[in-house]
Amino acid sequence: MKIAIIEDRISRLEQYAEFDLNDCETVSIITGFEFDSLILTLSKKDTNVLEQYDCIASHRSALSNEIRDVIKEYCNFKKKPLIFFSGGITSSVFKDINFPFLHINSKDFYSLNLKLFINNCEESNTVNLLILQFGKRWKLSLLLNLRNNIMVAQNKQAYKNENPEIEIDDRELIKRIRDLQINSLIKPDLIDEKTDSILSNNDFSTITAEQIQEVKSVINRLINKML
Amino acid sequence: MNKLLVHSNNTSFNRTELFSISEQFVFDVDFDKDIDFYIDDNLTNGDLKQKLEKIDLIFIKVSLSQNYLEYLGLRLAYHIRLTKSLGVKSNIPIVFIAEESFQFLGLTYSEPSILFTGGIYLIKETLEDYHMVINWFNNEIIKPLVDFDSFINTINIDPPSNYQLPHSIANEWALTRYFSMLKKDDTNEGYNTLEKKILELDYLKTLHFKYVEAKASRQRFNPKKHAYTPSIRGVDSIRIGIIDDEINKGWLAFYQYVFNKSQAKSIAFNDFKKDESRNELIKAIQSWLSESFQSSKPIDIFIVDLRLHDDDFIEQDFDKLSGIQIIKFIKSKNPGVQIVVSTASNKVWNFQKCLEYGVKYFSIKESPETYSSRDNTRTSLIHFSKQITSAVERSFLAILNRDIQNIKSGNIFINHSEKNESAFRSLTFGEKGLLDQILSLLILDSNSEAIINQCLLLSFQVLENYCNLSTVGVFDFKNSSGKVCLLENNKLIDIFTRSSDNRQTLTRLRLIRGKHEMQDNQASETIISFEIEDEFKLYSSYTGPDTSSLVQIISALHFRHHLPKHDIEKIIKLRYYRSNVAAHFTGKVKTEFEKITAKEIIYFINIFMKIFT
Repeated sequence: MKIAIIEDRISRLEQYAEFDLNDCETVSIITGFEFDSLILTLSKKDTNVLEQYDCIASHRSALSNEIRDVIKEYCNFKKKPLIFFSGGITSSVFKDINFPFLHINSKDFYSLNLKLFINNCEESNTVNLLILQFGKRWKLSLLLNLRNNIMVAQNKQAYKNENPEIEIDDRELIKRIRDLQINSLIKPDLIDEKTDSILSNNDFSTITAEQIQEVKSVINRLINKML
Repeated sequence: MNKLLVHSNNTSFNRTELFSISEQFVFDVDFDKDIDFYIDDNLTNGDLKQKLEKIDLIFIKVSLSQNYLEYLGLRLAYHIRLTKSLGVKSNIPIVFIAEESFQFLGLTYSEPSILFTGGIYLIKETLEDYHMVINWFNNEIIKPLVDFDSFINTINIDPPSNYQLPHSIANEWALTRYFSMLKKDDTNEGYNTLEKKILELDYLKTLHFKYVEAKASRQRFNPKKHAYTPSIRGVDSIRIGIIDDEINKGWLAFYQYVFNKSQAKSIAFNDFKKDESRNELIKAIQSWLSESFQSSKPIDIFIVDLRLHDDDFIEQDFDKLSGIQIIKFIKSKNPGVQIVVSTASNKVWNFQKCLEYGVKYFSIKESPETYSSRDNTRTSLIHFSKQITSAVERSFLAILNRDIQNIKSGNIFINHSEKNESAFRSLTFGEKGLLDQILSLLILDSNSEAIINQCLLLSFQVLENYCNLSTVGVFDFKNSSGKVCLLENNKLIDIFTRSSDNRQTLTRLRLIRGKHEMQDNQASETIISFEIEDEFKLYSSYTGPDTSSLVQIISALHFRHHLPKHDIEKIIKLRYYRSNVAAHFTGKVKTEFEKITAKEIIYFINIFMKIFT
């Protein structure tokens, strides 16, 4: 596991970082001469140098629009997690549509969440940008999403039940386990004596309204526990 | 009732029975923009603004992204409340849709205070709740925000991290605020450039800016009362150096506009590189300064920001701040150069330290933390003008220093080894000698009457010592014929005689008595001028003050240095002032007589330039 931090303003790193990044073996800080060299390479659209990294974090303002596009296209193609951090970013936003992409404020990026994130990368050999964004509360965001998605599907189902003539795309409803779209990172947490028999089923197994409610109850319990 | 639903395709309310397509806005963050910029663009120019203008009630999903905890719905609501261009629509009732309670949102969002302000409602995503809201609205139970003051005092928005320090915020805040106070001048190119620069500032689109602006803008702007464009007196053709890392964010345009209006010119150090160390930056600025100091048109006034590099924001040692190191460098090269420290800091100890390094002028960039009134901002701009005016008035000290350094390094006594001359040289041109003392005193305070008097005494000390040198002038009072001697090519000659056509011609000096304008009616006549006559007549019976010394001065300045008569008369007049006011208060000078100023001391230094170099 290797994480690249591309930072032209090393003083910012020193100003914000709440721990010594040099102690993290998985992290390569690309600055100074190495930074200049990287920019030169990327300006020729040569991205081979990025191959060695499993996750790329870059100071957004250090890159021109063209270089930013080169990195984004590369990460999109490779499905590689990308982080743009900048002091001017007012609120962090994460999108995971084509590839995991996080925009985060520099101060938040260099916070202790970065240490949690790096530790997690090292221990699990996976990149979980939510840890960087929310720290210890990262699971809460996934649980809230899941609860919202289930609630929306339940409401649509109820509406369809009352108005059978209305056509609602099956993809908007929950018919099978897979329709719950449970993130694998929280699935183990959702399993208790009641949901075990539901969630351990094949993804394509059907799920009843009562079973969905059962899963939702566990989610509610977990959410309340996290406060 | 016209309503709108803002969602990100994460709601069951987006069916057309509840909200028609035109009553929906799909929030889809553009990742090439900051979230605040995306929201601001939509609220000020985009589709969302057009929809908002037509509605009476807005429903917003608390979560408007893939990541629930981002709570972008709450951020959008803050923007709606704080975006000025929305006018009264910014007070629209907002109904949040969430499964979570007020308490839960309060505990899990960093800035939840909007939830607890007027015009805010929270419902679960159920049909019952939806119909309840519609019913409440129709029965006027749901109301818009009424008390904006209460709202603004309830909420709190932290700045983004690159604006964490008051310094950073103040730079963009003050610029925007100052610009808003200027009289509209859109036929002026500089004004338009400044406006364009300000509109480009990212900070204006942030929630934090909108928040602080809303806090401060409650005091309405009255153009007649508040509009003010700084006008700086006496700066015609003056060049003012700017050393400020924020120049590209509009400050240079501000200075250029303001100074150009006053016929002055601003010249900025404009080579800030993001990846250079603080030492490299300081060296680059020093090199730029050295070029200016060595040029034929050196800059004598600088506006300096104290923090020019990122490292300065974590620096604990004030002396290591880049701005302080630049100030020390400037003062080491020319202590007469005037510096206006432009800073967002209002810490007293910072000013004390600056004073120690010879800075006399400060312009404090207004900070949103102070939530200044329009009157405060106007005062701040007036203060800025006054500080620059004062600095320009004192910039003569930079020229004076250069003149004194030229006299010290290029005077006629440098290679003279005769004992008295050597002593004179050391006393006058040496380190901390009389000329240095004059400069130091004027730098200390060039307006103080006591200091000007002291400088006058020192100036006459220089002149009289010079004229009393055996190689310059010796007056033999006893013989009344007198002689003032010159050393030319190591040969002593009498300057009262000169060779012409192989004939010795006697040059005759007559002292003219009369009264200076400054003299009190009761004061007796004194020597006020002189004439060159065929026959030498010295008023040997005259018992006035130090006649011999005066004749030495007149003789040396007239015969040796060929100074114009009006210059010598001025020195005679100043000598009277020296003797009757500066050295001893005799009461012979009218009290209403205008006191002498630093101009007279500059005059002396110019005389010294003529006679010593």
